[in-house]
Amino acid sequence: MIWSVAWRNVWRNKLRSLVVVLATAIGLYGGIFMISLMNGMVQQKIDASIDNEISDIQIHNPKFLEDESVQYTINDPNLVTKALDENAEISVWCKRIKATGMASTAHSGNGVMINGIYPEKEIMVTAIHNLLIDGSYFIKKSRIPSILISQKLSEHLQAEVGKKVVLTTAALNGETAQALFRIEGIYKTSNNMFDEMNVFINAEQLEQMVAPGSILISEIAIRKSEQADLTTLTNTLKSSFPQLSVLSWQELSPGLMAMTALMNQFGYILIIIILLALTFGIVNAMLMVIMERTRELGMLMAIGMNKKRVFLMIMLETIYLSVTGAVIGVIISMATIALISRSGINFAGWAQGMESLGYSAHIYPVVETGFYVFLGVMVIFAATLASIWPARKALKLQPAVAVRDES
Amino acid sequence: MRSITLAVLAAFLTFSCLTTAQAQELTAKDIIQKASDKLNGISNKGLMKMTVVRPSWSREVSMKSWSIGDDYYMILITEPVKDKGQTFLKRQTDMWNWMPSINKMIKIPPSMMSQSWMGSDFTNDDLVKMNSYVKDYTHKILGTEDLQNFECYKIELIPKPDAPVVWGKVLAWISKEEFYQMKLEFFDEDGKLVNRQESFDIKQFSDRKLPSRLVMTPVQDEGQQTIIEILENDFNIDINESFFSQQNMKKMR
Repeated sequence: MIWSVAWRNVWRNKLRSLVVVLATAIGLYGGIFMISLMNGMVQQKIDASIDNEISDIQIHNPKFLEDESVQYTINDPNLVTKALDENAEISVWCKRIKATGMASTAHSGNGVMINGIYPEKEIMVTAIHNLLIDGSYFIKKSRIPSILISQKLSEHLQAEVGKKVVLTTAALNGETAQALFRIEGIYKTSNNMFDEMNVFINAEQLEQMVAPGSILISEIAIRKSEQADLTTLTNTLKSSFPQLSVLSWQELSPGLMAMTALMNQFGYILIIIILLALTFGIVNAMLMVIMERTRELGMLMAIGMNKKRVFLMIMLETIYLSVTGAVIGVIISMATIALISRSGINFAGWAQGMESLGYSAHIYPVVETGFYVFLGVMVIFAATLASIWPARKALKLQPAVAVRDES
Repeated sequence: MRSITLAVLAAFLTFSCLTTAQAQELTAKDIIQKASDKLNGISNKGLMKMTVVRPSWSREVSMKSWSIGDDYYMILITEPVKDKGQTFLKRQTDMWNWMPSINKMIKIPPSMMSQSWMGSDFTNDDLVKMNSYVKDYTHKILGTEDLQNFECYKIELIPKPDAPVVWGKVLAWISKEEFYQMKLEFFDEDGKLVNRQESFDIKQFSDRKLPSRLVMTPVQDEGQQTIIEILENDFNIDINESFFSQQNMKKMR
């Protein structure tokens, strides 16, 4: 009974209730949408990093991670690769040889990480071949070997597809090795820092420069199968190869993990602040309600409605008011996000700044389900909190005085 | 009888003289070889001043240098005070830098070879000079031209197809007499001029004459230039390969 009375009471002053409901809805809508953008940004950065740069798991010689020198290779690669092939939780893996060096053209030079890859396996692990803006991905068979560089580097070196690039690196015997390459393709990821540093050539070419005749592996990149658990798989591999460093992307790039956690916390804090502000608006509206209905409340009490029920009624009115607002806010947010996440929002104007930080400027907003649950709990909590003051005020009314209220 | 022998001998001599003269008709490759070998194996000690010119400022660096040909170099910065005591060592294709202010020896890795040397238009790579004008290019004499009152061969150097050379083409002006490299022009693959290196003011330094001023101009960057002036130079001094060591770098004054 009291439930429906409270609901009807909410809509006795339609304008005021609507204003409060809309304020709550719009406040939450703003917050949720903002958070969905940030979430989308971070999620995309993580996905892009995994797809283009670090994969799920990487294996190195532990010393390689310290100074990225080409001499620290994986010993007994055959043992490792055999174990990887047999593991059902691994969907695909590829090996690389990496060396620091310099890429130079007639105009300029740049310090780079030279990635010697096996293109036919690399395309299954990384998505760089889908990110070409010019040229092709290791399909040319010419006398001068091919190199793949980023758009950023090609601007810096002032060299387009087909032009010469000379790579210089230190060979295993300490001597300086140089070789000539021609640009076959130009790629662009959303991470400028990665783009500036990384060039790709055929693994054989790099071996030719560094240590002719030998097969070296500096890095093995692994993509897990869809259903495999990252942590479990990493731990299994860790125990299989105790002499090697096996790291998941979370360990390889702790910054990414920290970023996710930070964004989550930021989202929660933002919602708490918005709700707190809305609470004051609701308190204000409810105090008005009590003042307007002093006489009515006095009458109810005088004809025998006990204090508990009065308290409950006011409390329910407050909760109805805020929850209605929240539900409307969430519905608009979900609709907007569902609509926008298909095409994404393109912040092209800020692309340069965002990409220099490694974020894509084309954002597909996302909100996790867990966040809505948190939101629901928080709204009920805030509404209850907001109802205490007006309800207490209603309780304090003296029926005898209240019924004579002239206002 | 005797006169016949003499006549034969004379004829033979004339003939052999003629063939030598013909042999002196130099090929483009010989000219480049002679120009690059000019200081080959000759030990040398000198004082130099480098001026880096930029559109809004310029700075001067003074240095002492020791070298044997192009293979071994030691350069000690004496001025400005900020960089004083910095030493660069080059042995064949390797280069080290000793920085006394932080008490640190750095072997310049390949990834740093493209960085500018002491803020100039020369890169570390230019000093290390991995490429050989003789070995990595095919040469062609385009003609002769007069430069600063020197009759010069104008030679076109085209990199061999798989030589690790960044240039598309190099033009060299080499003086007929003494084989000075009077001017070098470096072009990219599109035939655009990138760098111009010129030599001026041939002067007597102890027992030989050399251009005393080297000007490097990156043509694309307006108002930029690096000038190296040789103030003093002594040749055939008493140093050998072992002088160019990391231990010695720290001791140079």
